[in-house]
Amino acid sequence: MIYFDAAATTLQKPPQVRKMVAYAMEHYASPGRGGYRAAMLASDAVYDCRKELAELFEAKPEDIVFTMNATHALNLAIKTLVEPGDEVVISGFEHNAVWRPLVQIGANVKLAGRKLFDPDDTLEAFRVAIGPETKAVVCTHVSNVFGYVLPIEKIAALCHERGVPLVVDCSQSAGILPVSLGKLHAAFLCMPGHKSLYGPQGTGVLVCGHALRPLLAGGTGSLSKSASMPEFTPDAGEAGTHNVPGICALCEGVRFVKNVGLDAICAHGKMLGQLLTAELSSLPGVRVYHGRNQAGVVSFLLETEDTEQTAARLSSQGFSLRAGLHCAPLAHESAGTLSSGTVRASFSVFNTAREVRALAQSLIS
Amino acid sequence: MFWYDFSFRSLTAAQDGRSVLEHAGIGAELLRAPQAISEQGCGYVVETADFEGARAFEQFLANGVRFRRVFRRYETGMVEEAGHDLL
Repeated sequence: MIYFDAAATTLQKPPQVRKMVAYAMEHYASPGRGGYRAAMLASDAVYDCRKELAELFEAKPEDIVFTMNATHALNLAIKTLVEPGDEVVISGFEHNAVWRPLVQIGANVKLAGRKLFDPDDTLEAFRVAIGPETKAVVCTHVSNVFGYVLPIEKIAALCHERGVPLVVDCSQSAGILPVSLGKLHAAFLCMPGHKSLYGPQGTGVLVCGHALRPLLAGGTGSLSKSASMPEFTPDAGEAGTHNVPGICALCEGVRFVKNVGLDAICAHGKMLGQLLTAELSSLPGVRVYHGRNQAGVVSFLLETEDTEQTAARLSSQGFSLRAGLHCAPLAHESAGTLSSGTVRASFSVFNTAREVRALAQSLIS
Repeated sequence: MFWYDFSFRSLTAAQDGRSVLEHAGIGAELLRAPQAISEQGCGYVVETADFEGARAFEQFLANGVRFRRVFRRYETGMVEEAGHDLL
């Protein structure tokens, strides 16, 4: 099986990630609760992961809140900042993990920037859309459908200048592109642990540059006499027992990313994306979505075949690619692919040029 | 003989405090706070030997580490607040 669905989750993990899940299950108890050895070891292991993440995203360990996935992190961030009726500006490439919580709250959602691979247009659209009534901006760093890298540094500078809190969805950039809480002056960075940070599924991270409103209430191991949740992070966002095996394994994933290096990881993904684009662009009847500002995610479609059929055909030949709308109807609407969807190839560091050529060959035949 | 116990608002804050002390070469241990110390419920303290207390205090101040309170814990189990006379 050749796996090209890293944008959903990375299936191949560094071996130490798998080993750490088993180790933690055997040796670590509940962190932040007891004082006996297995509990204290768990506490130290969780803290080690906070430190690794804090270093990678230029934050402090106390800013790191563990969640179960990026959606959970985004819900925490959005429900901290947004009240019913509030005006919120989002890009035209957001995932349902952004759109749905905003609609659920009853926010007044304004879309900014719908031109694919056009950062100047995106920035200008945000400049126009952010007004005195805007309560928050939520923006993806990289489109999960098209790999479009949005000009997040410039959007962040704009938000900072206008005093509007920014939530960045780093689902497709954490572990691939440099992201700094401090440099972006962001209120929150939201990310999964199980994609390009190479942790297991069931892990996510919220990096907090802003006070947090709890989404869940329960035990935190702190201020136990109080009936209210602590207001400080990370405790405000971490009610209940942690996913210790997941967090410890995520720590190994983050260390792997640091060892390989963001530059090398990003370059590898881009190289594979450009290779696939070059291979597919020469084929008649294949539409490939590509641009200058693109990470290792490529969407394409065959003009004479349903995208789900293409993905099913590729699956029968041993290739794992996702077709359809990728939980991002806004992005598809922006690109004009809402009715057809696309087939998406997304890469991890474990993919090779040979695998990409094999995919192209399979599409030709 | 006694130890200095620095209390913090959270486990993570205490772990940050311990990191600062370890970085400065000060022996520090993370422990559950005695109930006599944790006035708001369960918590953790960073404990140092009596002769390291003043240096630990200085390191916390120098690195912006905000502990809540500091206590002397004696071998007998008795605990008393140390306060700023530590320096």
